[in-house]
Amino acid sequence: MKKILIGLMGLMGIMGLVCCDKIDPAERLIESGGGDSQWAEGAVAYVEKFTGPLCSNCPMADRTIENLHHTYGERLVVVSVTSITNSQGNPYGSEPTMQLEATRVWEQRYGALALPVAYINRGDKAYTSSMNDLGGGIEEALRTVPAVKLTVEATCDGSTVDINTSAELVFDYADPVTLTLLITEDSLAYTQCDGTSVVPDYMHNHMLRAVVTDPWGKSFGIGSTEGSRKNDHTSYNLGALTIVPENSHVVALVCDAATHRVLGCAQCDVK
Amino acid sequence: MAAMMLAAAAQGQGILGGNVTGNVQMDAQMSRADSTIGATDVPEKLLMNARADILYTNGDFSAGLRFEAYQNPLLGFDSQWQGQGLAHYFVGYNSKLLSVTVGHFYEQFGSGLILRTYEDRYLGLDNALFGINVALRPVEGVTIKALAGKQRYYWELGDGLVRGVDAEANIVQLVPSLRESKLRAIVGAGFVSKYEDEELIGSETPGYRLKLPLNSGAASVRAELGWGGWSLQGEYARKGQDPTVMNGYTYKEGQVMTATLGYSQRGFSASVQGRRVENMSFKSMRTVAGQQLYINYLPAITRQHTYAFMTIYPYATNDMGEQGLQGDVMWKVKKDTWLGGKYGMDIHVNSAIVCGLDTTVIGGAGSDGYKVNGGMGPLLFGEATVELARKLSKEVKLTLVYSYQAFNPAVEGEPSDLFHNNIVVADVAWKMSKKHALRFEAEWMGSDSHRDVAAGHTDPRLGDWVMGLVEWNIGSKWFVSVSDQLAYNDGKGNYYNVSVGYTSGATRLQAGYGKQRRGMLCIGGVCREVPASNGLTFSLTTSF
Repeated sequence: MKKILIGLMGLMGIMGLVCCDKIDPAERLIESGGGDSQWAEGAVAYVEKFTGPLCSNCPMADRTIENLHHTYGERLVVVSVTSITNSQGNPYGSEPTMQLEATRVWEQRYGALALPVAYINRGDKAYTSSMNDLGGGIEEALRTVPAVKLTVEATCDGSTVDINTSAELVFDYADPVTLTLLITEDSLAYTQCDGTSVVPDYMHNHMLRAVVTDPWGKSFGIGSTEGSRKNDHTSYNLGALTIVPENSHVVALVCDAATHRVLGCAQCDVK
Repeated sequence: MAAMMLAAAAQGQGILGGNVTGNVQMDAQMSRADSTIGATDVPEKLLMNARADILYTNGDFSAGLRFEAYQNPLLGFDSQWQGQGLAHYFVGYNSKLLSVTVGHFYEQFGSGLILRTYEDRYLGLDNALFGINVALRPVEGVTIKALAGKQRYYWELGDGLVRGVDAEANIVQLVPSLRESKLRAIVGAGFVSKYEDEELIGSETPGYRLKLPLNSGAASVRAELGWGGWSLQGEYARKGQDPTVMNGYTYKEGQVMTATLGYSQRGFSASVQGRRVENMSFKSMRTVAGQQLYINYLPAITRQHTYAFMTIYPYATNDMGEQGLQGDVMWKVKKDTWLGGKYGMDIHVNSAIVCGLDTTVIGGAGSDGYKVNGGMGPLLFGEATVELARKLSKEVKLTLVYSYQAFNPAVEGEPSDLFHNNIVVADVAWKMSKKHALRFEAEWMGSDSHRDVAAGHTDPRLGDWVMGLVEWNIGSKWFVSVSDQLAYNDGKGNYYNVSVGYTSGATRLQAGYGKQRRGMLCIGGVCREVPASNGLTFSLTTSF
């Protein structure tokens, strides 16, 4: 009995010493390394992030995403969607809402949303809370050759946004695809819950302001063989929507029509 | 169904000479859009969670399997549950000296502070380990456990590898001279470690990522002492560096201490429990938030309530940091006394208070996160409940409950001040005849939460509430119940429900129609969000 207990204590001691790593504060940060050459040509990671003014953890995710922009630059496209199914997407008091009815079908695809949550290229993995693990998913996406190489240009005359999109199939892709066009805007100041405090003029970036096409996009017959090309021109009347063109962007997505997975993504400033 | 038939055939024919038992449960739901409560349409029209457990035992040998189907998952269950298949299977051997299980298994070290794998079908939670679990009993009173495996993550296994060892000794059984004494003494200790591969986790410094500990461990020591009616239980656990999404990828070590002093005798029991938690979320995948893949479990330090309004604002364990105290007294007043009357009376008094830690933030990802100061943090949850249950006659039993609850909405991420709730319940059970019984329940909750309605909050729980329920039991087979919850004083909502049930032997069928308020469902301090719904529910359970 005595031997068993001594042996067991020895085993636990060994496990305690061996199976536990401790990293000194000075060694906790390491350079992300790499460079643009390590990513697949034309690869862009599309991050669809669901947020809301009453979501206390959302600013934490915003800070992570801004840091990721420093690392990945234009290879990272973010669209912040104000949740319409989670009540944390509701505005404070009488402030204008950023909720768009069109996004309801996106949220229903992912199921009940706990904010904040983000998905890369409309994949299955949910990135939540502070989203510090988003970088790993972005790198994985950037190492993957996209099926569609996209470019987009947009101009605005104050009431209409004209969007020109060019797409090319990078490899054979037989399934039907769609083109989705979105308008986002940076530097929007409105009230946001941040932790346990309320920030009246919190600066919101990448906010989705309009879904130009149908929520799941419009049919986009690009063909199915490598090198096939297709151009698209779309005019969008802003109607009652007010945007500041110099703070706004157009995001173009080519997606698989059945799975909605993003096959190609591009973003441009509105001129 | 095939598994059921197979099991029934095996039992009926005595195949292999063993014993086959099992159970089947099916829960289905139909819900349609209702803008008044925020319910949305269900595109599939019908949602269903179903499962069948089969257990085969033959002497020291046992084997089991569980088939699960989520086609598609009920509202409130994560969409990652969608699918069907063999979710759980194991083979085990159990003798006096040795127990071995390979496959999926559930295990607990002590009170679970460093390891508890379990499943709760109502929470949509299953963190079973898939691997090998060995328990050795070299002498009477000593149990040594060792295990290794990966945890279930919906239909897959989590990436993290979990290893653990635990020893427990019953001192009274080990020392023959103590066996006749009133003393009870059990001591134990355990260690659990997880391994995860390197992955890219960003830091708050652009261009830098975190160097992660690949192995994170947690150890605990525990003791349980008793003398006559007195008992004292205590456990202390400490966790090494474990940066995860749960703690914002900070490197602070974690610890938890819990102690319970109790006394019980015939007709009376009392206990007081204290606990302090610091950064003790311990999961086998660092990037997974939510309730899946927990290696450890921190039991609730509040009473588990059953009455509806007492669970509207439930307590959820805050494993990132809290300190709490709970007292509980139960007294069975004898009959034919002034207080007990002709039939006696049960008195149950319970009070709990849970506060956060007094901390100072010292940094984000990559830092130690926060520093703990000496004081108390904000109140997270507090309650005091008095419950009196007394038979008024041979046929009628009355239960009266008063509860005061203070709830901090910040726990659920809502920026607001404390809610103060007063809840009163009257529950009358009337056995009308040998075949018929009625139960009436009336509840009222007054709350100052209505002030948040003016501030633009849309939580459907806000406001004051009143509820009535009538339940009619016909023999031991049928029951019908009707209930309605109504909000007022700036609250919104009228949630009515009708349900009918039929029980025959081990089989129970139930159907219901009504509205479900969006809120939180918590069991043992672990919670999941319940969305609003409006429609039919069906349930079937049976065992064999």
